[in-house]
This record gives sequence, structure tokens and C-alpha cells, in this order.
Amino acid sequence: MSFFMGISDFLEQGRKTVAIALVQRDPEGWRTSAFTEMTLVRATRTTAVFTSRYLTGYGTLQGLENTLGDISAEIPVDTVELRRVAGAVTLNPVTQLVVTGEGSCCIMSDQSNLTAGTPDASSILKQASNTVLQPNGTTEASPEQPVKALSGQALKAQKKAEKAARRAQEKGDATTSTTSAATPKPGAGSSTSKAPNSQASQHKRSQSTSQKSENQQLPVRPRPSTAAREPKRENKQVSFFAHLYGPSRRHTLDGVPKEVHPQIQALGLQTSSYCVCGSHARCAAMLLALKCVVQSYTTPLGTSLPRHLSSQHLSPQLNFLKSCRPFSVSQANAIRWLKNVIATLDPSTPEPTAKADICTAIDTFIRERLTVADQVIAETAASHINDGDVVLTYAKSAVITQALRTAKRAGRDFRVVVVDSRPLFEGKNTARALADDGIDVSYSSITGLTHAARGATKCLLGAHAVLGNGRLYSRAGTALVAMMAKRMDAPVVVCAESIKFTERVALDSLAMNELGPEEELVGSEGEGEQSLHGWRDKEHLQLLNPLYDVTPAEYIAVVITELGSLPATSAPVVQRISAGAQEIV
Amino acid sequence: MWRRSASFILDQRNQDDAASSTKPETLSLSPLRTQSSYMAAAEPFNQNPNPNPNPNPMISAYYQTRAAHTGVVTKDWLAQAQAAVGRHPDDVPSPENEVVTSDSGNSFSVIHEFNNWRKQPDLAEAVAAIRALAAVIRASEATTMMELEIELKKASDSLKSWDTTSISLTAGCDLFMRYVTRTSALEYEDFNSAKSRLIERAEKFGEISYKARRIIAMLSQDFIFDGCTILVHGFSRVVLEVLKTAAQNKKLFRVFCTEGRPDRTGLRLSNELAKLDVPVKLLIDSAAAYSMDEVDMVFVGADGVVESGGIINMMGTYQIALVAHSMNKPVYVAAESYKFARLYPLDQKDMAPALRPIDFGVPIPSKVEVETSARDYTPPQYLTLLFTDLGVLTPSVVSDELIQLYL
Repeated sequence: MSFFMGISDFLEQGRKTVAIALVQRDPEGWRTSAFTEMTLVRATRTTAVFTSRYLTGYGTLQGLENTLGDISAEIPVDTVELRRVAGAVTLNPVTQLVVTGEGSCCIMSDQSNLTAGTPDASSILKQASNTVLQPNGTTEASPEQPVKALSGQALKAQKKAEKAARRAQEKGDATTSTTSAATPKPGAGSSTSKAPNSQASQHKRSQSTSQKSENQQLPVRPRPSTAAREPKRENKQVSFFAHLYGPSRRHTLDGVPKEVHPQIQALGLQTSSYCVCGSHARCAAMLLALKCVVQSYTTPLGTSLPRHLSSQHLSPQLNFLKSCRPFSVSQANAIRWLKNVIATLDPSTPEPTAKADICTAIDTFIRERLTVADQVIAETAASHINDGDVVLTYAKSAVITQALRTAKRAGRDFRVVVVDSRPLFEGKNTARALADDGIDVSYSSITGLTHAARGATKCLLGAHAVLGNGRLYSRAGTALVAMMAKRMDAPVVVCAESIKFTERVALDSLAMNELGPEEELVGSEGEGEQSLHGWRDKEHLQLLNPLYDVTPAEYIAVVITELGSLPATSAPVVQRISAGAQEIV
Repeated sequence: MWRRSASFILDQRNQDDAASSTKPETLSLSPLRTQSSYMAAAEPFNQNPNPNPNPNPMISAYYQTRAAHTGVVTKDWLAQAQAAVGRHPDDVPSPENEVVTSDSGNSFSVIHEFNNWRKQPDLAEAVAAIRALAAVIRASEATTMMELEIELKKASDSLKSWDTTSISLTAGCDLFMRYVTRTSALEYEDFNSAKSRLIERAEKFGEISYKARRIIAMLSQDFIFDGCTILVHGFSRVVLEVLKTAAQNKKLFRVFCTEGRPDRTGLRLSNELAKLDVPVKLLIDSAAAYSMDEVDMVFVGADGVVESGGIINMMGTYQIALVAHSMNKPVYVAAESYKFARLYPLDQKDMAPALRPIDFGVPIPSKVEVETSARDYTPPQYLTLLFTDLGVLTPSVVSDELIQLYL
């Protein structure tokens, strides 16, 4: 049995810790139901038994529940079929396993840089499970155990070198190409061979946690070897948007500082792969993960919780999350609030009380600013939907779906037109959910907008953020839909929780935006000429994938918040009140 | 297929309901019918469990009162116009309303109290509501602030449900309730002083309401210049106050009054202005666009100012604002701040319909439908400024003020 062989591979290499994702099939596709680092207890011919300290249960965004404690998982082998993932195998032939079975799927790997942006691997993985997962690159799982003979100082230096090597490699991947040929083969023993490369990362990174040992290395011109090896490549950044390109999204757990909590690691990968997507869901998931971080935190000697927790302990977590995907406005607002909560704690409070206080505050925050806020907004929005309305909506917004459901439950007779677009196709989810509730839905691509919008009487839009000048910052394509709705004389209703309001101002989508991975636009390899496969090697070809756009305030008839309905021009008032409330809560 | 307008269906449904319960003839438009006969006709249909006996759900009580106070109804018109020369028309008692309040029952009722106050033509509906709520406080036997609050809440809810079409009634109730919840008994040494404070406050509201009109009139003087022509739609006590003050300040201006069908409230306003020796020209409502090029500014009152910064006002305001906007004439709204309501209509049909009978002078065949809405919604982009007792506001500031008021 191949699965069993995979397990025995682990055993042969003397490894006990693997990262496992349990992925379950639900009506909406594959979902990560648990992500955890597990220790192998025993493997027999029929079962492999793992135990773990952490079990997390997100995936479905409602009812985000967390349990902390010892669990053990038993995976039946006989219903399990091993599948090797083509892209991943080229990177790490031995330990990359994807196990699928009846209703559950499990990806296990150790220590490899699975699919660091390799398009084929990531697309295959997406098909397989929609999830990518990696174990923490922590020390006990690494194969460098024999170097125990070295002194503590030398060991530290070596680890530092390893980490630097990984970063260097990651950087190389980001800036040059991700073809697997160029990637040095990772795996057992390979990190030592990468050691000469390690001086490359002299750049100070905020994520670095061992800065004190950094001055042990001599400054060397960065990346001389890679520059020599790689042929000169065309810059694939669209120059007009150059200011928006950041470091490319993290899809692996390579080189994660060891302080990063497993919950945060899992969430990071879920956000980077859009498993957790949407401003509201990301904010809630992040707060819940941070709650776990707080719960498992102990204050080191010689410092106090308010001083240490937010500056020392939370920063690496947040930096990791940020490297997976830049924060949404709601997340940024929530973080600002949380830091304020921690900072205003009385330093003399005993640690268990302080931690409990923070956790209670987080729960209250989620309930008041997200859950209940959504209910209030949904009810207000539903009250605007009358019999005979044709509601135009774009992509996916949890609160819009909720509003339409509420209206349906109130017995209103209306129809919904869902407009959707590449590359994320979030509207499919909305369309299916609404149709399940018995609402008449028609689904159309944004290319058919002029036709789809005909006859619309209302336009309901979700928000990523509402800017200080009343403009709406939302999924790319929203502005087009709002413009068309205005043209069709259908009032545009924007639903946004007060946590999504920001004092930042933008006049267009160029000044601030988030660029998604270009690979999303490429298409699958099977499409042949239709696909842009290998675009990085094509000269004169650049791809641009902005995720958001800005809708002018003139198009917006009303912004519905939990504080009330207001015209877009009153956005600063809500922002003020919301920021003020954050200080009070 | 889906109909373009949602409320069309809703209107039809209402009409069907009405047709099944009352004969459609009750809505027929013979000039001989007076308000009291409407109410009388509707009386037998009030056996529903609703404890709040709105005389006729098909007719907006608010607009009935307005018509009684400010309108000129066909036959009375000539008589009143003649009488206006001699005496103040405000002194004319409105006998129709006696019917409503004649049966003041044994037990105290906030609605009766409200109706008593409402009869006074110079008293705004919001103030009448607040006075009625004050009477509730006075009659209350509650001994704690909490009990009083619950009692008041009940009273204000029943007032609001009595006439859902009146925005200023709702706004007045909300405003006073807001004040009550903010006044905690803790601030005062005992419950009784808190109670008397509330009553005092309610009494003051009447003065505030009158003072608000004075403030608005003062504020608006800077906008009326010599030689200007002002278009006025309908009858508004605030607008009258504004124009009166301008005339007293020896400003030279002329006023175009629309007729203000169906209540012909514009005729009443032209009467009042003629008494002040202000040159007045009467227009039929449909002449707004024709005469707009002569107009320098449009002045309207408001039944309610909504959260978007737009206004809900007598039917026809929207089209005048549209015409003025397209000809680049400023549209000024004079409204007291107690008319600010927590409403956000998205379009014309997004409000509880306020219906009233329309007199066409000739019998209308029963197959012909009649639009009987009494009011329309003017979106904020067509308004220039709002003169309120809080100051001269742009429409977008209104929602800022409202949010701060209610949070």
C-alpha cells in the first residue's frame, strides 16, 4: 500500500513529526477542516495513528470553533489511495504525499518548499484539495540532528545560516523564476549545500527573530552566484503599478520563525490560497487565531504582559500573516484595536486574568462588530427590498447573501442577478447559496453586464473598505457594476460594517490596491493556445491582476452600516465613531 | 415577467385589500364629500384588533390635518379669501376635527391628547406629539424611571402606529424618547424632580419649535436679495416666516406661488403674502418649468428631512427641484431640526405611502386609477442648502448630525 510506504519513509528517516491537513468534502468542495502538526504514534498495516497538541476547526467560516487539547487521529489505510502530486514530486520526491479517500484527504509533507508559486503544482494541488500545507520548519523535525556534537554557539550559527539560505532561495524565486529546474533541490542534507548562499540575506527583515546574531556575518555583495547563473530576464512588473508590487505571497511554511503559532501558520496558508477569503471572514479568522495565540502565551521573566505580548510576541505572528497576504482594512482596524486593548491592560493584573480579559474582549469584538453588525445590516438592507425587485449584485459578500436571505424569509418576492468575473469566480458561491434558499438567481459574467443589469431595480454591493472620501474600495469590477446600475437608475446600496471604514483616501484604484498572483490569469495548461502558459519566458508580455477597484461616491445611493444608513459622504463620521468605539470597547 | 416598479405591485395589493373591505366608492372623488364624511364612512371598518383607531388607513391623517390647517378646499376658498381681508384665518376653527376628538373617553389616551394638540394650527405635529407624551408623564403613576420609560415607550409606539405616514410625528416621538433615555434619575436627587424636569423640557419644546422658525428666518435673510424672485411650493409655516421676515426687513422681492393641488395650499400662502404687500403671482403646478427662467431661487418647506439629506415634502417638490437643478437655480429648504427623521428612502416608492383624496371636480370612472400619494422624496443632489435651527447645512451634513444625535 503506497500510503503505508509513505509512512515507512517517514519512519526510516527517523522523523516523528509530520504536518497533516484533514480535508473534508462538503457541498462546496474540499475544505480544510483541520490543520495540525502531528506526531506519529504507530503505524500498522491498516491504520496510522497520530497525536497532536493542536486541533483547529476552521474551514467553514460560520461557527469558527476552536479546541485546544490533545487529540489523536486515526486514518484508515484501506480506504486511502495515494496520489503523487506531479509538481510537488519534482521538488521533493520522497516525502510529499497526498492521500485521498472517502470524504477525507490528507496532505502530508515535511520540510519541503511545496509549490512555491510553481503554477502547475499549485493548480494540481488546488484541484486535489484546495489546500497547501507545510509543517513548521522547526528543529526537531529537521534532519540536522547529528550536529548535536557542536557547541550551542555553533549550532545557533548553523541554524541562522539555514534560515538565511531558505530566505535567499525564496527571494530568488520571487524575483526571477519559479521553474523547478532553477530551484535547488531541497530535502535531506541539501540545506548544508545551500550554506554558501546564505550571506545573501543581509537585508534586515522585520521577521527576523535572531537579529542579535546577524552581526556575526560579514557583509557580502548580495546574491552574486544566482545573478551569474540566471540569464537576464525581462522585468515582469507593469511599471505603472510598480509601487504596488510587494514580496510575492507566501505559500509555504519555509523559514517561519518558530514563535509563529500553528493556528497562525494554518490561517496564513488559508488566506494566501483564498481558502479564507473576504474582508469579514479574514478578520474573524485572524481574531480567533490570535485568541489562541494569547491563550497559549506565557509572559517571560522580567517583563510584563502588556509590554511584551503585543510588541514581541504578536509581531512575528502578524508579520507572518502579512507575508501570506496583505492585511485587509478590517484586519488592520482589528489589530489596532487589539493592540490598544493589550496596551491599556493594567500591568499588575495577574497573567491568567489578563489573558482571560483579552479573550473575552476578542469574543465581544467579534460578536458586536462582526456577527451582530452583519445581522443589523442584513435586516436594514432587506427592508429596502420590495416585492418585484430585481437585485443586481457582484461577486461574493457574506452580508449581502445574508440580507437577501433575510428578505426572502420575510416573504419578499424578488429576483437576483449575480454578476461574476475571473479569476476568482466568487459569485458562483453566492449564486449557489441563494438558489439553495429558493431565490431566483441568474448568473452572468461581467462581460454580459449590460444585458444582465437591464431591468435591475436595486444594486447591492459588499465592501472591502469604505474610504474617507466616501468611495468604495471593493473587489475589482465593482465600479463597473455600480456605474451600470447608476446608468440603469437602480440605487446602489453598499453594505459595510463600521470596522471596514478607513480614514485613507483614494481617488482611483492606482494609488492603493493589492496585486494578486499573475498566475491566476494564466489559465490551465490544457487550454493550449488559449492559455498564457510560460508567460514569464515570453518577451513583451506582462500580466496584471489587481484585486480591488475604487467606486466613486456619486454612484452610491446609500451605505448601510450597523450604526445606520447614511450617504457615502458621511463616511468620515462613521470612521470617527467606529475608531472611538474601538477605544471604549 | 418582472415589473419595473416594486411598489406598483404593493399599491395594487393595497388597493385590492381596500376593494375587498370597503367599496371603492368611498374613494370616489365627488366634491361634496368633506373630511368628516370620509372619517364617518370609514368608521364601521375599524373593528380590527388594532388598538389605535386611525380613522381611515387609506387616508393619511397627517395630510388631512395639513389640508385642514393650510389648504383651501374648493368651496371654502372664496369665502376664506374674502374673510382673509378682514380677519386672521388662523382664528377660523376647523369644525371637521371636532368629530375625531369628541369622544374623549373615560381613560386617558395619548392619541386623544395628541389630537387635541394637533388641532392648533400653529403647533407643529412633532410638538403636539411631545406635548401629548408630556401629558403621559403627568398622568403617569410610575414610581421609578424605568417604569416611566416603559410607559412612555408604549405611548410613543402607539402614537407612531396611529399615523405611520407622519414623519414629524415619528421624529418628534423618537427625539423625545431619546431625551428621556438620556435623562437618568441618577442625575437628579429623586424621581419626582427628574419627572418634572422631563415635563418642563416637553413644555419647552413648543417654544423651541417657534424659536426654531425665528432662527431659520434670520439665517435665511442673507440669501434673499433685493429684486429676487422666489418660487415657493405649497404652504409651509417656516417658509412663510422667512418671507414675512424678509418683507419686514424691507427687502424687495416677488414670490411665485404654485397652486399646490389638491389641497391648494399655495393659494393660502398667496393670501398671506398679499396681506404683507409682497408681490405674488400664482402658477398652476405644471407651470414650474415655464416660469423657472424668471426665478432666482426655490424655497420649500419639508414634512421630513431624511438621513440621506433629501427631503420628503408635498407632492410636486421633486419635480420643481429637478427643474431648478437643470436650470441651475438654487433650491433652499427651510426645516426645523425636529423634522430630521431616521428614514432612508432609496427612491420614491421606498416609503410608507401617504394617501389622500383628490378632488378632480368631475366624477372619475371607477376603472380609472388615481395616484393619491400626498408626498414625494427629493434626493439630496437636487437640494442646495437646508436652513435649520442648527444652522445652514448642506444636505450631506444632515446625516452627520442625525448619526451624532442618535448615537
